[in-house]
Amino acid sequence: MSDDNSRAQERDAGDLRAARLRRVGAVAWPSFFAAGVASVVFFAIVDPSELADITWPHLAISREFGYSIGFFMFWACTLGSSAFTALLLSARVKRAARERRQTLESGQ
Amino acid sequence: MSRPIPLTVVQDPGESLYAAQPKIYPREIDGRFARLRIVAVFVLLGLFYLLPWVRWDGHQAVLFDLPARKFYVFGLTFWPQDFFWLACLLIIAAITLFFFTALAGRLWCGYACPQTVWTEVFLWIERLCEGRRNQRIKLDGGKWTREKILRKSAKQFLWITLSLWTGFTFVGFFTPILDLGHAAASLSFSGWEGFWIVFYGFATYGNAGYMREQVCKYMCPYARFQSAMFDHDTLIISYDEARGEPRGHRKRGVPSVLAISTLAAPPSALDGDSGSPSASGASRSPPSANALGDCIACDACVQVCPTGIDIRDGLQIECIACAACIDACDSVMDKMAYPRGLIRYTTESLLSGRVRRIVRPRTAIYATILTALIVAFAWGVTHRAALIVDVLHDRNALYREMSDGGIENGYTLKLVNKTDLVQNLSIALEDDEPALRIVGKTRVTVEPGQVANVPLTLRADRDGIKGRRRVELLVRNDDDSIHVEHKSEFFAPEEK
Repeated sequence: MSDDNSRAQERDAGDLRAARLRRVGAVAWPSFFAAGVASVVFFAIVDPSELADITWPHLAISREFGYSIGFFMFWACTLGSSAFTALLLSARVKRAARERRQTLESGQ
Repeated sequence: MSRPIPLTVVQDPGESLYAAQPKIYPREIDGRFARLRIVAVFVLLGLFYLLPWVRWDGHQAVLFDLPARKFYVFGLTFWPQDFFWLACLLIIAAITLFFFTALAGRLWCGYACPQTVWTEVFLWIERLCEGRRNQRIKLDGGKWTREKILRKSAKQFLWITLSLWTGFTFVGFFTPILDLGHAAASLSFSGWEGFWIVFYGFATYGNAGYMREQVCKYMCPYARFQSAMFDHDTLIISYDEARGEPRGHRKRGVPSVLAISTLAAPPSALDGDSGSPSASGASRSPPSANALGDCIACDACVQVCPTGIDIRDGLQIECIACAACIDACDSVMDKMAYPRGLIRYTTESLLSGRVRRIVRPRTAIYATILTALIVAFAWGVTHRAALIVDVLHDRNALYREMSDGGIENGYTLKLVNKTDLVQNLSIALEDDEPALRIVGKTRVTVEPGQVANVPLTLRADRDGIKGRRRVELLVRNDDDSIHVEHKSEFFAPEEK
């Protein structure tokens, strides 16, 4: 019996890990995609070397470096926003689950 | 008297939003659609890996040269100013996806998506190193023997090599691949090139080697909204429940239900689409003596499924329409000497006995938009302006007053030569403004594909112009094949 229990616990832990991994994927991938689109649109109009001239002219920033900074800046924004949404939603789901459990327990 | 109903929480939503997910070992299958996918893999990945090496007119045929901010696509050169056309191209790609989804379902997922084609290649490598499905399951379950270590490391070596090559090719679309090749030979990448090669390589490795069907199930946005493009006439992969059920094992030689039903049913029960007989709906006659349908419950369709679903449960969001189950079922039907098509490409209309319409409002609208966009794109790209002229007024001072009372305005002319020829350009004032003239040189030579920043001064004589005046500059080449007008403003002090 206890063997069954520990196996079930192991499986639950595995599920939880998989669910977390999937949540990471669901946050990372769409935000990556959105950042990519934003970078393409932004840098089609703005030349990173001109941007470097009007921001930190004393630093030597190559175009490749500019594109990369731009992309990661966009990604940081979209990733942060997606992660925050995921956090807010998961908190609600957890609360709903806790309330349901309490109702069940008090009913018994 | 009331009795408490025993309740248990089946699933705690706080703990797990998803169902349990065992690792999927798709069984290898040969068949019409598997071969079609192999062709697609070779064509698409062949294009991806070889295209950067193709030369055209002395430069890389397809190069999105980010450091130089110039895009070469065979004979065409695009500039950041041509971004509109890139956006147009992306919209065309999206509408094409909508059109083919409405017509034939998830064709994209099954044959063309990078996730599918790279996963396919990674599976080939896995098969090569670790054997077929049962061997792989045994290997993963077994102890770490010498053989297991050897097989696993061979797989990892090939996976990583392919991933790095993929990353290298990807970056080769954005920086000249020959230079990149030289840098690779001497291991002297610039920091960002090296970074993006590893980044893209790692993404390929993770997605095609480990994430696989999880990407389609949990991360892909297209999987979630493609149902918006589906209707009753969209091609789907479906199990013919009426023909297959009740499923069960049987001895060889038991005839197909179709062999019995076709005697009774009229020939109109033939599917117009695949040519395979259908026993759907009303055309089904009473089942054979042993009361079994044509599904022999061999579960081959489940074992080959890369997303691990049972197609017999109906159309599911996880189904990427790879048609592996069709191939599997067809081979089983052949062995049983049953007609093929128990699982097949069909539509909801056909399954419910109606006729399939290919031309319908949805496809007609998508097709019209698509055609219009492609025509506009082709016309626009071939009729792009050969010269881009931008006139920037001096930012620091609106005007300068000269000692003789004349007024000067400074400008910078930005001339982008988008042709592949050297252009000798002359700059003139469009409307003959007697009070205004150009000071300094009016002839400029711009090399092909270069941007020239030309300082330009306009001068008005004393009291010639008051306040703000619209001026029109004309830039043209000698034979007048290039003729661009550009408006700007001239500023002088208001009347005193």
